[in-house]
Amino acid sequence: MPAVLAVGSLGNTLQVILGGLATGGLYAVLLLGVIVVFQVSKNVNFAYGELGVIGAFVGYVLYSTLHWPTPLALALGVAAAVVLAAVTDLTLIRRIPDRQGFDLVVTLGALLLLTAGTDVVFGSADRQYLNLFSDKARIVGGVYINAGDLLSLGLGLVALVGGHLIVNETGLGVSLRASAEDPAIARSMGIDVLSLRTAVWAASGLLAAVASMVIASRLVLDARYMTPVIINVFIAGMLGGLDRYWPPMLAAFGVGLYNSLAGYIFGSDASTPALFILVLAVLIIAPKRFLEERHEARA
Amino acid sequence: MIDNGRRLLAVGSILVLGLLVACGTGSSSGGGTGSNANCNTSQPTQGVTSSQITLGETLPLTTAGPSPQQTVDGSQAYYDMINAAGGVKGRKIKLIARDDQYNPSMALQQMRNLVQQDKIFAVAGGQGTPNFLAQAPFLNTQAVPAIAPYAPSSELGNMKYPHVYMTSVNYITEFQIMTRRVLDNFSPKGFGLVGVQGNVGDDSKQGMKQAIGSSGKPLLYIPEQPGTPDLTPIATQLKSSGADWVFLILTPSDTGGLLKAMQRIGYQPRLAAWAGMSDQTYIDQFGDLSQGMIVAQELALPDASDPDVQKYVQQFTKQTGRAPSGFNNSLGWSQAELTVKALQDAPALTRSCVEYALNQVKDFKTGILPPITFGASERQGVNAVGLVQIEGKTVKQIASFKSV
Repeated sequence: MPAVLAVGSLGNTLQVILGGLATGGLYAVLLLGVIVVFQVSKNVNFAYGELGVIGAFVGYVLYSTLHWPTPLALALGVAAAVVLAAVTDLTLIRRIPDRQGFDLVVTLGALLLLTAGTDVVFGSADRQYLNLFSDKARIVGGVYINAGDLLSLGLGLVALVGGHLIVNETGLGVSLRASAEDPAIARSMGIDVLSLRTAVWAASGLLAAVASMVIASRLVLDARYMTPVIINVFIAGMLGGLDRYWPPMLAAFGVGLYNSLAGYIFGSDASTPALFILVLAVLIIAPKRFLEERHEARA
Repeated sequence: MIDNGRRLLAVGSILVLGLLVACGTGSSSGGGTGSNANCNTSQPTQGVTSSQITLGETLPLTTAGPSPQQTVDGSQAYYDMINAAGGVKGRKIKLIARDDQYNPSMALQQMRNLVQQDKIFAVAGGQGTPNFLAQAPFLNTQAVPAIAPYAPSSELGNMKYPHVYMTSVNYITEFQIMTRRVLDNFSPKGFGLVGVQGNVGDDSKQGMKQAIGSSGKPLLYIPEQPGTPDLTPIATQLKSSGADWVFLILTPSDTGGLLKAMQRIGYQPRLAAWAGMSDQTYIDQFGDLSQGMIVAQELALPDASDPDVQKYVQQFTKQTGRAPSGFNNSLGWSQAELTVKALQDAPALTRSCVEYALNQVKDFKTGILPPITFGASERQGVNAVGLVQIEGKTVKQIASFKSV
C-alpha cells in the first residue's frame, strides 16, 4: 500500500465525497438492473455493461454524426439497448439448458462478441460525449456542486427508492416477486412468466443505457469504458447479495464512495487494491449468517 | 630471412583477419546476448526467403483507441511503396502486427508467437512501453533485432538491451525538456504530474525532478492505473496541492476523462503532456478541453517547410490517397523507413548483418524524426525533443528540436 499522499481541506474532502456518491449513484442504477434480472430469471449477465455502451454509441452517432435532435438521439440510444437486452433474453437466455453456470459462459461470450462488434461498427476511437450538465456548477463552501454530479446522485436515489416502490407497492412488483419465488405457481395464477422475464431484461437494458450515457459524459466513450465500472458494480452486488435489495443497493453507493476516498487518500493506484481488501474484509468479518441466508431475503 | 618472412606472413595474416573482423565480414557469432557489431553472412536465420522478408511487431490494437492501428497503417504504407518498387534485395516485405492489448504478459506471449510460430526475421516498430519492456529480455535471449519500437523508457536505449535500437526519446528527457520550458517562460508556482503507474510515470517524474532541481518548486506526482472509473479524486488532489501546471502522461481516454473531472471541480491549470497528445484524433475529440496544452514533439509536423518533411508527406499521400493523420501515421512510417534502410544496407540478410548495418547509421534523415545515429555501443538513436502547443483544432510549433 503506498504512503498516504495528502488529505486536503474539508472542502476538498467533501468534493471527493460528492464525486464518490455521484459515481456510487450510477453504480446503483446499474446494479438495479443486475438485481432484478438475477432475482427474476436467476441469470448474471456479464454483457450488461456492453448493452449500455451500445445504447450510448447509438445516441452519439445520431446526435453527433447525423445531427438529430439530442433528446431524440438519446431516447433512440436507450431504445436500442432495451431492444438488445430483450433480444438477448429471447434468443440466448431462454435457450440455455437449466445447468448451473451455463448462463455465465453464454453472457461472457455475448460480452466478447458485443465488444468486438462495437469496435467494428463504431470504431475504436475515444470520443467525447455530451456534457449532460457537467459544465454547470455552483460553489458552496469551497465545494463545486456540479449539476452532472447531482444528476448522477439523483438517478441513483431514484433507482434506489423507485426500485423498492415498484417491487413492493405495485401489482407489477407482486408479479415479479411471484415469478421469482416460484415460476410454476406464478403461471397457475395467470402470470406470463416468460414475457415478464423478457420485460425485466428490457428494463435492465434501459437502466444500463441511461447509466452508461451519464458515465460516458464523465469519462469518454469507447468500446471498453464500462468494463472497470461494471466490475465495481458486480463487487457491490457480491458484497450485498444479489438476492437482497437494500444491502446491495446501499453497497453500490458505498463502493463508489469508498473507492473515491481510497484513491484520494492513498493514491489512484491504490483504489483497486483497496476495493479487493474491502471484499476480503467483508468475507472474513461479516457474520456467516449474512452470507448464507441471502436466498431468504428478497426485494 | 625465411623466419622474417614467416613472421611477416603471420603478422600480416593477423592484421588482415583483424581488418576483416573490424569491417564486419568476419565470422563471429551473431547469436546470444551482448553487443553485435559484426556481420556474419552465413549466420542461420529465419523469416527470409528468396521472395519475402517477414517482420513483426506488437501493439495494443484493441485497447488503446485507433492510434496503434494508425501506426501500423503508416508502416504498411511505406512497405507497400518499397514493395511496389521491387522490395529489398529482390524480396517483398511482409509485416505481421499482433495485438498485445497493452498487457505485458499478453505482449510477451505474442512476441513468442511472432518469433517461434510466425518465424519473423526481425521486430520492426511496435508501440507501448510496458508491453515492450516485457518482451525485451526475450528478444535479448533470442538475439532478435528490434528496430525503432515506440517504447520511451530509460530501461532501453543502452547496452542492457543491445539488440533494441531506439528512435524514441525516453520520458526522462521528454519531461525534463518540457519542464525546463515552463520554468524558463511561465514562472510556475507548483507542478502536478499524473502518469501511468510504473516505469512510464516514474521516468517522467525523474525528468521533471531533474529540471526542477534546486528551484524549490513543489511537484506532486500521482501514479494512475489505466481505466480508473472515477477521476475526481485525482483532480481534487491536484487542485488541493496548488499546482498551476499539470503534466500528463496517460492514455488518451484517461487524459480526456481527467480533464473532464478537472472541469467539474472548477480546476483549470495550465497543461503539458507527452508526445502522443499531438495526434489529430485526440485533438479532434478533446481539443476543446486541451487548449494551450504544451505537448512534447518527437516527430516533425506534416506542415513543416523542411524539404525532407514535404517529401515524406508527398510520398505518404501518393501511397495512401490521403495526408498523414499526424503522430501515429508518421511514427509508423519512420519505423518502416529505418527498418528498410537497415535491410538495404546489410551486407547479407542475416540478423547480425542487419545489426551491423544499424550500427553504421549516422545522421540518417527520415524527414520525420531528428537525424538518427547509432554506434557499436550506442542504442539511443535520437536525443532531441521539440515542443508544440494545441491551438484550436491543430498544433503550433513553439520550440524546435533540442537535445538535453
